[in-house]
Amino acid sequence: MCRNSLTSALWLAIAGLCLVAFTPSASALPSYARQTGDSCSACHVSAFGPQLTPHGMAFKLHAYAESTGAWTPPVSAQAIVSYLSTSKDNPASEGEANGNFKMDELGFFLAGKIAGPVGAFAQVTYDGPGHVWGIDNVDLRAAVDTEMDQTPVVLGLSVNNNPGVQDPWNTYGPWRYPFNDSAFAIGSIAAPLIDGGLEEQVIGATVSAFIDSRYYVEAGVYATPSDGFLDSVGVAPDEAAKLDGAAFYARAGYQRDWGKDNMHVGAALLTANLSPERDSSLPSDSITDLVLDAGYQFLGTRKQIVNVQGAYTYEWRDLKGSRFVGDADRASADLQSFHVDASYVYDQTYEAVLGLNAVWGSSDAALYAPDPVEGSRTGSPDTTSVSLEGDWVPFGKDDSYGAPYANLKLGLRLTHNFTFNGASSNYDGFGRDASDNDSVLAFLWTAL
Amino acid sequence: MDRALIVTLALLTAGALTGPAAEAGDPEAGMDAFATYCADCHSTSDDMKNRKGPSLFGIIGRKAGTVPGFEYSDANKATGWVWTQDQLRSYLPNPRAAMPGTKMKFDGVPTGEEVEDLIAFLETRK
Ligand code: HEC
Repeated sequence: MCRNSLTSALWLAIAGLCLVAFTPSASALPSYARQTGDSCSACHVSAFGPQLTPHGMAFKLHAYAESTGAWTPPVSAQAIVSYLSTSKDNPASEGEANGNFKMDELGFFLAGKIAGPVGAFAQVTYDGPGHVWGIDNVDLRAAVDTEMDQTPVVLGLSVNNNPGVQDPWNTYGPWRYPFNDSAFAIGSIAAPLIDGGLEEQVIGATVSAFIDSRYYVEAGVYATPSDGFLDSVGVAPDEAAKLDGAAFYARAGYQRDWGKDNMHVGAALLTANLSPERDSSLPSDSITDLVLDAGYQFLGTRKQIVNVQGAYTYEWRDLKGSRFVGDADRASADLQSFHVDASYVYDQTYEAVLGLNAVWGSSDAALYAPDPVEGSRTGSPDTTSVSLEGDWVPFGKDDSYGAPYANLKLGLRLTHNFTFNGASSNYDGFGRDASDNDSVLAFLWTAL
Repeated sequence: MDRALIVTLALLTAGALTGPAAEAGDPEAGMDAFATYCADCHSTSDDMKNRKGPSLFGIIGRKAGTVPGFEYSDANKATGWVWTQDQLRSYLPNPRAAMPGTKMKFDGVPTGEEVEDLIAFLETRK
């Protein structure tokens, strides 16, 4: 079994490399580059996504629909292959040896202009380890340019399945660092709802306005689709979160772009009621996330780029529902998170990223219970880690080999955990230390 | 006095009389300014590649709105301008004010010096 997946991953890697090497005529989503005539490096820091420049942000807010006028097929594909090694084996990963070489994802995208001012970023992904196809992040948008007293305004509509996937910045939700992970990464016990808690399990619509390229405001609602719908898009209904009523999302940001450099500050709000055990007759949990975020980019002539960004999230929790079913001891609780990443990019090709991640909040022995590897001995969610990543992005520039088809990112990420699920030693109650989850991740990411 | 010196002096006087001549731009600095402000949307390579904006290869002296295969705004096509150095000087500091209705979404080149450097650079791309 293990040997099989290793060989198939190897074959995929080879196939991926062949695609990269033998296709004529770069980017996170190469179909965007083909459509706009822009190089990937115009929209992305380091010629490979997802981190956006203001130019990339404008393209997203214009519904991925700007083009040179000539039609190009709005389709792209990507594959991510990775090798993860954790300091100590994960006994919970039944029979999977440590040091896994895995095809994490194979994804196809409908990405680009659909018609007029309507465009898409819609991903269907094959989850390698899970061997299933399923809908991934989807952001369908429409946008119009208008003016208010001679001030340019971009009005937008987004229909999406993950609060934050439509956001123009890279500080929370699906687009924050780290941008990819091994399917075998050991996740910590708690994260704010806005950091992926609803991804692919909801459908929502938001409207936005970007005024004078400075002020961004957005608001919208999300709801849980029917089980049949979830099933049909490859999301297991019994594992999906269930919203009780609609969730509300709002976002505001202020950006300044001076050409050479730019900055933003912002805030986001998500409020949701969730039914425990997906049973809407039970009392529900109420969750409210407030995110404060900021970022600074020095772009200059694009020869040397510095990018620093971060977000702090406060989550108010009223866990009546979880307490009712015995999953939590206390109803009133909180969870906080802070993450920041700083990167330096040389020649849009070599990148070094330093990231800090911290999650902490009120303790609860029922919610955070002891369990091998994934649990908590102390009933506390506190986790703090640092990571250092180095990437090489050989293509994706204007004059690159194979532009705009050949795209490749090779990365190496070292992660160290100071505390994990509430402690640094014997954090799970079964003798595992936080540093046993330290990891080395090597990955190869290609896009076509 | 030797002749060259007389000519130089005469030119300097004429320069002084006709007002401050714009200081000639530096094409090297212009290349950097182009990378900073324009290259996201424009290419100056000789294959006339269009991006979000039309190719700027050979732009100086060309009639506005005439790069083949690029969908210009009506505003741009209607100007009837020729992109002389002076036309660029009046356009680049604030394109939307100079050409209301243009679809070039760019706020303008911040300093006069950078405008001169850009023009010097664009002069080399033809
Ligand atoms: C955000 C993208 C963008 C940026 C940045 C940008 N431009 Fe443009 N530019 C355009 C677009 C789009 C057009 C077509 C305008 C129209 O049709 O109204 C254009 C048109 C032009 C034209 C007229 C071309 C013609 O054939 O008539 C010139 C000259 C020009 N740009 C110069 C520049 C220079 C110099 C810079 C940098 C200082 C720059 N642009 C920055 C998008 C951009």
